[in-house]
Amino acid sequence: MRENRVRTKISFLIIFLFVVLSGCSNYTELNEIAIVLGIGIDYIPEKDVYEVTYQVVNPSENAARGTGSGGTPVINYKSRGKTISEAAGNSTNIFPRKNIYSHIQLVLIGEQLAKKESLNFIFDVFERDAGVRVNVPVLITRNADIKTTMDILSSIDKIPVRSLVGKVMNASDLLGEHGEIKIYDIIENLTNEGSEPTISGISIRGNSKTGASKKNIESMNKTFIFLNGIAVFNKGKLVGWIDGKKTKSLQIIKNKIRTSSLRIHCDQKRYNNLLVNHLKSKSKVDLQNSQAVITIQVNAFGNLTELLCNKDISKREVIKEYQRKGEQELEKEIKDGIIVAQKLESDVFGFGEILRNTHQKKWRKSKQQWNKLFSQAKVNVKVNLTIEGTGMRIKPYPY
Amino acid sequence: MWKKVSLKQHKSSGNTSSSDDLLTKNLIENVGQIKEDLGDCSDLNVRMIKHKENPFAFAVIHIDGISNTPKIDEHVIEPLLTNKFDPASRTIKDELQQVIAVTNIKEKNTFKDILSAIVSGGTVILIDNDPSALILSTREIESRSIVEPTTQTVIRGPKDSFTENLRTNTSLVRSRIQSPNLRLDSMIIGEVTQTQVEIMYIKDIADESIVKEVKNRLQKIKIDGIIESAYIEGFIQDEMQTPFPTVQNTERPDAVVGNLLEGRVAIFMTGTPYVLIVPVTFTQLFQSPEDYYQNQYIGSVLRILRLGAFFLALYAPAVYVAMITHHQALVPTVLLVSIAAQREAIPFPAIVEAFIMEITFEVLREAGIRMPRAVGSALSIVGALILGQAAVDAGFVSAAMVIIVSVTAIASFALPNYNLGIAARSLRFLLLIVASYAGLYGVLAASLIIGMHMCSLRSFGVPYLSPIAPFKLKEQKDVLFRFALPNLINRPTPANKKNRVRIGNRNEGE
Amino acid sequence: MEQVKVNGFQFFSVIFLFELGSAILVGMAGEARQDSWITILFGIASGCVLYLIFTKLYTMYPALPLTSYLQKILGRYLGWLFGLMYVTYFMYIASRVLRDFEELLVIAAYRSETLLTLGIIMMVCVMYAIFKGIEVFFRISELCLFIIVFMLLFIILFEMASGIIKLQHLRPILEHGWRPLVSSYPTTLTFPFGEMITFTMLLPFLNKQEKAKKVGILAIVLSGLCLLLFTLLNIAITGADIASRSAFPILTAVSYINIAEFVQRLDTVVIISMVILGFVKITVFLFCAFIGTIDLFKIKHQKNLIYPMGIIVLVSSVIMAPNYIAHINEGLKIVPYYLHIPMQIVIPILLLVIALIKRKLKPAYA
Repeated sequence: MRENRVRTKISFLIIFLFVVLSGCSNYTELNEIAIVLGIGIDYIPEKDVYEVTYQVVNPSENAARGTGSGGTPVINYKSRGKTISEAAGNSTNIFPRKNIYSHIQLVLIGEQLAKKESLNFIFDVFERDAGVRVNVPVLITRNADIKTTMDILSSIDKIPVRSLVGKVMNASDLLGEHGEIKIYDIIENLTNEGSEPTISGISIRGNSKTGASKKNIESMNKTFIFLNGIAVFNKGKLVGWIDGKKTKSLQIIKNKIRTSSLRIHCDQKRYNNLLVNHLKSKSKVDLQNSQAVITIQVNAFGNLTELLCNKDISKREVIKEYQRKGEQELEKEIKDGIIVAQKLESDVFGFGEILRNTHQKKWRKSKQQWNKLFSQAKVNVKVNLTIEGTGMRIKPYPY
Repeated sequence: MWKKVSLKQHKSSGNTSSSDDLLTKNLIENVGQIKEDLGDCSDLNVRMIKHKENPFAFAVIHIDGISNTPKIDEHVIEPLLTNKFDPASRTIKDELQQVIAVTNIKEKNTFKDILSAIVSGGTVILIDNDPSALILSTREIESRSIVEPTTQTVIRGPKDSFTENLRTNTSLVRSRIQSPNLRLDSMIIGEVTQTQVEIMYIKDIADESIVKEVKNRLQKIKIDGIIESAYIEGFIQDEMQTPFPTVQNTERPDAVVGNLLEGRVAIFMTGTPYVLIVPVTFTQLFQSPEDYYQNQYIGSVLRILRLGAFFLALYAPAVYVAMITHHQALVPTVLLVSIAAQREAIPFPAIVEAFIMEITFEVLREAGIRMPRAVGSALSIVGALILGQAAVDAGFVSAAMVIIVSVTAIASFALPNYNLGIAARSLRFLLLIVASYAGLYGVLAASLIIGMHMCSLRSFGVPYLSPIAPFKLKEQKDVLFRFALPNLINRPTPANKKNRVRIGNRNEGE
Repeated sequence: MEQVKVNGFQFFSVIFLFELGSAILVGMAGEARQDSWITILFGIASGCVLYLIFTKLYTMYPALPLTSYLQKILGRYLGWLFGLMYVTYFMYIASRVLRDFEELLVIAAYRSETLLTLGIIMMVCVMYAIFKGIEVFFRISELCLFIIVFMLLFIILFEMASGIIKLQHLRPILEHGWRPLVSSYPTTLTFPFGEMITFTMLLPFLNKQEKAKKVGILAIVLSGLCLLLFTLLNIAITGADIASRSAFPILTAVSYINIAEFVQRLDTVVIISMVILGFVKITVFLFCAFIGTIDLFKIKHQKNLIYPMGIIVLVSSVIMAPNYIAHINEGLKIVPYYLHIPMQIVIPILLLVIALIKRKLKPAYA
């Protein structure tokens, strides 16, 4: 028993010494760190450096009780470097705290970067560093520069980055014209031979100078950011944009949206509006005589939400007519989107991947020229739309 | 299988008289010896009876206060005074036995026995020319009436609790278990205090080896005196170096009854209303008798809640400190921003702040126990609300830390077993230090070590963590969830292996 | 060592946790990409066969650990030598696993700590477990089984609920043919299924002999299926490319989880739970080395051994490789072929053959 006690004492002594001598090096107090909420990456071709902008929380402004002293809730600052890590290192000269990147909500990519220097090289650091997540949405700026975009404060959400993310999610849920693209999607598309990445674009409307100051929140005439098209890449470089309704094709084919809004002619001048939901699409890709054949089958249900003609919708033929018109409209939108991508010779829809999964041997033979093959592919779109609801009135507005 | 507890042999405090001396035949000498041995205390009553018509002289000796004086006067002294005894009778003691109306009469002839009888409230009748004496048990002490329990209260259930009188306590249990198998074994512990300790168990339900081991350990105790059952607890524990209680205590008779029916042994003691119950397992410490008085769903929910409270009391400060100092990535962004804002102006590092708050709260709690009732309410308001609020406003501590510490403290009181709450509070500090050092990894390592320590504990041979580890499927019905009463058919581990099925609970013809 | 008896469920939980061990973390059959699940299936089957070999040896010598019956079968001197080899082998693998977990923590969670610090914390737990004895260790692994099962269920639940599983990542099947499957088969067999060799040292503690087969096979199959499921999920979520590139595929997969913006960044929680698995594995290996040493050298004051052995494992874990990639390469290219296959497969088969032959020749010797 005595040796037991001696052993216990020595164990405690050793553990105590170990604790005292090695110290806890990973201990970081909250007032030593800066929480980075958003990152913007741009490229300056003249100097061949990356310019990284960080949007960091200004903590005293964000207290739950709102005891802020009137400053801005976030701080933006930028730094340069030949690699992103170097830029991060250089940023310590500017900002007094250690950055932590695990709370990044958004990554912005500057247009310069996308056009002049490809996307291939900026995402490695996101994958490799354990403190950074890869399920962060990415946006690209269009006709605007990163610093200005990140500076524009919004009145709904005090933190600009979060309002941007909210916009994208909102648009993708309700309208279907933009989708949320995350870093891992982009990486996957970059490394896959059968698909190319796409990123939603944003632009600024209004006076950018007032947008960056508190006046923006206070006045009614605001400067704000809006979503503007989807960028198309080829081998990592930006080659063009898909705008407006054609962007729906992207979302529908990739099965990312369930709801969308459709505008159909009901007579020469006026339109009806259909809310389409339960969208499901299935694509088949095949290679016949060195021409790619792409068949897309879309099924959807629709609700009439706005009727500006007074054709009697209680008649079955009228409904059928509207259904047909809706199908045609949707087909046209999808086809238009694919045509734009074909012109840009970039398979952003992932048809190559589908070919690879279904017809392995054909894929292996032709994967080198897939983008070319895609641009010359024959595309068939077939939409099957069923109108199931007409809203709270069973007859059209009588006028 | 039992861990041998080697107790130091204490030297018993000296006895005054030569203990094994026999009485002499001379009455006056005997009486004088007794008075000398007892130091002629002011509460010692000696009544010499010399009957005119009788040649016999008697002396009736008892100590006032611990013996039933009116009864002695009526049933002992009066018959001695009024009865005529045959002077030539040889069997005067037998005649006395027929006259004296007392239940328990014994015959002894050593000073030791007589003295110990007197100091425990008995009456001694010394007879002239007779070297042995009669000892009557006439013990009666003033004790508290049966009131509501002070520490282990329930909403629905019996509201009587034990008192300091041993016989009252055992009677409260006896009246609830009216079975001839209920056994009560008595022993005396404590050299000076000579306290009476009794063991109660149900014969065929309790495991024989456990009963034997309990008696064994109790008999090994050599100490001056035991004041509270905690002293016994300290001696009979399997393992001394543990914060976890391996002996349970209760002041409720219904808890004792429930435990006896599950095969456990209860230890009663004069002088304290707290009755010990052995053996105990960890899961049992979360059970309160109330679980069985409400329906099964409420009982299960409450039990899970208590388990949650235990883990909260143990882990909350440690996990909080670990998350905001090592693992900032785990905290949701909005929360992190808010906490960061609060902590901007705090001068202390998180760990120091946690310690300050914890220690302050412990001091407040101690003060609250000893505070006289008049001042008590002022303290609770001042301490809890205003002090905490003022500290936050002054910028000493952050509001989040105050919340965590108060939640922890309240959670540690939600446990039905007070000792377990104390154990949780002590271990909490250890985990806090480890958390600040190595984050959640350190907390996990420390929890593993605590877990291994608990796994190695035994309470009278029963593994502390059964029925979870070793896992016994049949006993799971009463651990986390409380199944409906008709379904609790098996008795848990401490019960006799042959008697595992509760008799009355089997459904006939189902 | 006192003959403590452990029951079947405790044995099951130790085997289950042990098999999951570092395999669930480091990923299996990375070369085979999206077909790795096929390799794993073969691994499970062969693992069961190996285990049957071990139990056959156990039934022939019921109360003896491996080091003892090595001597009985191969003769005193040769058997003693082989026993020593096994003890060293166990300690080496213990420090490999320790290094795995130290690297995990340093890379993924505690970037400013040193390997040594984290290793010491783990070794304190392991040494305490050995000090308390095997019964306590088996009991705490029962508790840990519940915790780990819960955790795994939650991970699966969250992964499904967040809609990140894309089954098309698992196609095309056999894209690169059979060759990568065959080349990754030896590593899959020996790690983790072949590591059951340690249980040849621990089987004597089982209380009912006939349970050995049932419990073991059940545990191997269940843990193998678990590994299979997680490998499939990893590939389905991240795609075969990222899964084969990443150092800890399950962490990458878990980092994608994002439910209602609230349940996210769960990787640290996963890491911490994996530490439990590491603890079980290291303790099992060190325990076997401990029992082996006591058996070979007939040591009386057993508890004195714990400190030296622990320190050896700790120090060697730090110095064994300069960085994580070297460590992994060693583990994938050198260790299976030079260490695992001879020690786990070749020698036990030889032992079984020799023992059976001996029995046939001398039926008096049981």
